[in-house]
Amino acid sequence: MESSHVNKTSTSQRLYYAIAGTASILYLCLTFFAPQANNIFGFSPLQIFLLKVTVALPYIAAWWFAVYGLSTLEKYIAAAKEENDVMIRLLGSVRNGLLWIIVSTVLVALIGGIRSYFANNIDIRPFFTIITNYLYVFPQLIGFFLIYRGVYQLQSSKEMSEHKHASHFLTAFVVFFISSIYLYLMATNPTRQFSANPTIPATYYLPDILVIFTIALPILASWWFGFSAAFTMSDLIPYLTRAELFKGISRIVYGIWAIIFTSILIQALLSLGGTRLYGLGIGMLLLIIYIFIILQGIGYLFIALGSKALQKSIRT
Amino acid sequence: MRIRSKIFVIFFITSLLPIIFLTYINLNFSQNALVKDTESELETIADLQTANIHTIINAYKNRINFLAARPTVLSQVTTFNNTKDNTQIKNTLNSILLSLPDVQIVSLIDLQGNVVVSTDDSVIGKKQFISQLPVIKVTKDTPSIDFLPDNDGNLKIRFRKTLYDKTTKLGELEFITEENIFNKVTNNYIGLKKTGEVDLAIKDNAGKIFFITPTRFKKTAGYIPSTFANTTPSAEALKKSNTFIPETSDYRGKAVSAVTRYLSDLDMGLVVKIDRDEAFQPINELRDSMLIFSFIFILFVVMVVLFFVHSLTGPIINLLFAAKGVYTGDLSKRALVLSKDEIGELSASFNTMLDALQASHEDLEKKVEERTKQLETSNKDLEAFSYSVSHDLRAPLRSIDGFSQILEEDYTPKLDDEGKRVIATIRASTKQMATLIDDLLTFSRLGRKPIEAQDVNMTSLAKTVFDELKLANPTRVIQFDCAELPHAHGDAALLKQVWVNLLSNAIKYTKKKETAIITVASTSDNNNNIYCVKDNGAGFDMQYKDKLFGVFQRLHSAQEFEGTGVGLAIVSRIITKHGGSVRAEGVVDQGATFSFSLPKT
Amino acid sequence: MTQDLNEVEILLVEDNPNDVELTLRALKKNNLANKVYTVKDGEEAINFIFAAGQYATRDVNFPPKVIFLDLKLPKVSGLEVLKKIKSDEKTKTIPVVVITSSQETQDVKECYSLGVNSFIQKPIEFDNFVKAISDVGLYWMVINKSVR
Repeated sequence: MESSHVNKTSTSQRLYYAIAGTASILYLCLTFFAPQANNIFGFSPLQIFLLKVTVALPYIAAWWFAVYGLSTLEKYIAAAKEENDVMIRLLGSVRNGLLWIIVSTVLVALIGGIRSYFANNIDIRPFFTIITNYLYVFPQLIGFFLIYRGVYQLQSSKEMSEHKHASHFLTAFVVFFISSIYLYLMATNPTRQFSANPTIPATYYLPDILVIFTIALPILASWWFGFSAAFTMSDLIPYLTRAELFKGISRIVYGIWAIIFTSILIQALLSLGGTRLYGLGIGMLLLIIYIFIILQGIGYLFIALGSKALQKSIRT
Repeated sequence: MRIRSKIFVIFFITSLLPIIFLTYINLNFSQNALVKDTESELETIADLQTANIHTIINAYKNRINFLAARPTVLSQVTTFNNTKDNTQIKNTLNSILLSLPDVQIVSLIDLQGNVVVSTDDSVIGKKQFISQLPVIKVTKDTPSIDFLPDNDGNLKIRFRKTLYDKTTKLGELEFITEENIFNKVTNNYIGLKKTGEVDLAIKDNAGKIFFITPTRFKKTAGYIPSTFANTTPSAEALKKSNTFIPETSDYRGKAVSAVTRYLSDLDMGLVVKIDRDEAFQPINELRDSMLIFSFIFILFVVMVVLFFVHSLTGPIINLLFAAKGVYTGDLSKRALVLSKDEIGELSASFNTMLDALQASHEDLEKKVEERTKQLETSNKDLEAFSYSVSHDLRAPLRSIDGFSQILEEDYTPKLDDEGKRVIATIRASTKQMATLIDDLLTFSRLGRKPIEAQDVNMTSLAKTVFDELKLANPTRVIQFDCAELPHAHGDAALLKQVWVNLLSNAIKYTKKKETAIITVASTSDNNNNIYCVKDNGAGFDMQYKDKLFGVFQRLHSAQEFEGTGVGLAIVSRIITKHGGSVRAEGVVDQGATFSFSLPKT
Repeated sequence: MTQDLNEVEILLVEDNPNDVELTLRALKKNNLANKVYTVKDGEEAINFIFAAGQYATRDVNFPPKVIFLDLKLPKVSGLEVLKKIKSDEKTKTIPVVVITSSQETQDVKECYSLGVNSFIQKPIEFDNFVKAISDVGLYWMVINKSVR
């Protein structure tokens, strides 16, 4: 029985690693063999190469953090099948949700890599932009919704239903605040549909009404789901009866928060619009990119740490 | 508000407010600095170009003045006027032309205003061109300057100086420049980035503003579109003001910052302006950066707060949860000790406290068990005792009574009165002891028997008991009155005993009265029903009322009223067992009222 | 008194000699005394009824008409005697009247559950005692129809 569990785990773990490996190689190839792109900042070929290295490698590293985190979670789920059933289902939902999110990030990166081959073809730009946007928005929505649903099921299970839950005040407050800034940035973005600068693509290439309903709204919804799920989980954690469970699930919640914030950051940056974004200067841009990468790495690291702590709880 | 929300809001406000404040100050400050910068740049250019213009104009002015005063020129003009021979004057004009860069035509104008000699023969004979544009100042010493639009819309500048021979007018000398010499000034975009420019404007005879050089955005000189005419800085300049206007709109309707200069000697307005978008681009970039980084910072704060709050309130709620478990009865719940800080210590202390509580609880339970066992043993002893009493005390008593009766029956003839009295006494005492034993047994049994509670109809019970007692006392005259009594919830047999004792007491103690009046009634208060038995019998002295319900306590002798003194004690015990209480009131020789209360059902 | 042990009508099982005397006196009043045989403990009672021990000469098929049984007996207690009588096929039809000082309901219950035919409490007062014994004796001897 145990060995089959181990086998099963390592299969899906191997799968994760395989996919991550393939994606990494693909991405590296695309990045480094791409034709000379629009040199917005006017760097020398060496500088461009260095830039690619300093961005692409950490970016990929963040994926590997994700793989590590998810496979550790997977390991716990497989090993603890008989135990706390409700908790396992929740963590299964979390894992599924996170899978959707990380896969969307990877796909967006790969498409970005492919895109650079068509850098000079202005007509195909809208296509890529729109695909990238939707590829980012909808899987994220699904991912966060899955996590939310998992938590909701936990909340209504008989073990947890008698406990007091936080009102939605906090979720509403946080989401409202962040959304207002996001929407403000989006509204003041002059390059939503058209970009004056030929080297910088526009942000959405879609009419405003579509942007609002098919991009902004799904994103806000996914943030709502994400925060609501994370806050509810953090509410329910104190009612767990074992310290390892408490620590484990806490860390997983931290991880989810960090991943939500990563998503917020990316979307906020996107909504700034090309000209404003590049106007920040290369130093700032790099800084922001690194912040994002580190945040994502931290997020998945916490997931891994949490899963490890949960593993400890099985031994007892 | 929950702690979490409180902490969150506080953190949020304390990080948000400084950021907003600082950002605002920063942007404000930067904005002001930038405005000042722009102002000084524009002013510098304005001053520079004003000087340039004067230099250029003065060069021509001086030249034409000089030439117009040269005696050779004047004598040649006079000669021409007299002889109409233009050879000399024409040569002179040509050599003047060669010496002047940028001048296209040098001509001599006669007194009638016709061109008579010129370096360009095509203009000879033509009337002087009069343009709509005003002529700039003419005094005796200064040449007049005006502007000639050509067919392409470009402006040429014309200088004319009157030639005088002492006081006689000889004619006019005229320079026409090759191109708009002011272009040199306005085409120079150094220091003006991509949208800055220098505009030179004059008012025409109708008062409309006319740009004398092509602007950066309108490639020809010309009129300003009327919609913008009033707001342009050029209008301001032509109002003779020299100022810096940080925000206004130019001839395109775009927002610009401008510096105005009024050139009084030329009656010209000079404007140095630059688009605000371009001038304040650094600010916009700064603002965007600050916004993004404030946003990232706020996100960071929110995240940190969430981590912090969760790690803080989580253990607290867990502790609360364990505490709640305790007061719902589960002493085995423990809090999780999740950190080494004060909260962890609190949880650990709580657990220790619970351990102690649980231990003492178990200890107490054990003690209770022991005591119960002891009590049970005691009870068993008592049971054995009363069993023994009921058997062993009775038997000898029976013998005493029996044999004394035999004595009486069989040996009466042999006994004298004294003997008979003695035997009677023995038998009487035996009877008394028998009653005493029975009463004692009843009394002790009462303590041990559990109550089998049911609904008891007190009215019928009291009446039944009285009827039974009446049967046993057929000769007595008793007026019995029983009101409707509320039902009671208790042991029917025991409650019957109560009525038996009370009513038999009433009957007993009224035996000395002709008519015994016994009344049974009830009242009630908030929680209890109170039943009373009133009689008009011997009554009692109230100062002894506490003794009434004691075991074997009597207030009368056995000769007066028989009895053992256990009856009321039994009543008291039964009623107490039912959760009620007993009372007695009496007046000697007038009667007594005995009442007992029972909890309402 | 010599008696034919097989012609005993009342078997009195009582250990207190005073009580025996009083009982006999009471029975005498109704002329029932000569049919009485007294044994003073439980063992003797059983031996008598089952024709064992010192009463081996008896015939089991001639049991007494009624047994007056005290509960408090030395050696074998009244309850045990009662149990033995009522559990044996041959003897369970013999009417047994428990006459005892005890008022304990526990005793009453136990006796009836063992199959006692009647339970009488010995009054202390002699008059009442006499009346009780007489009534009982009369009833069981004269009025009641027994197997025999």
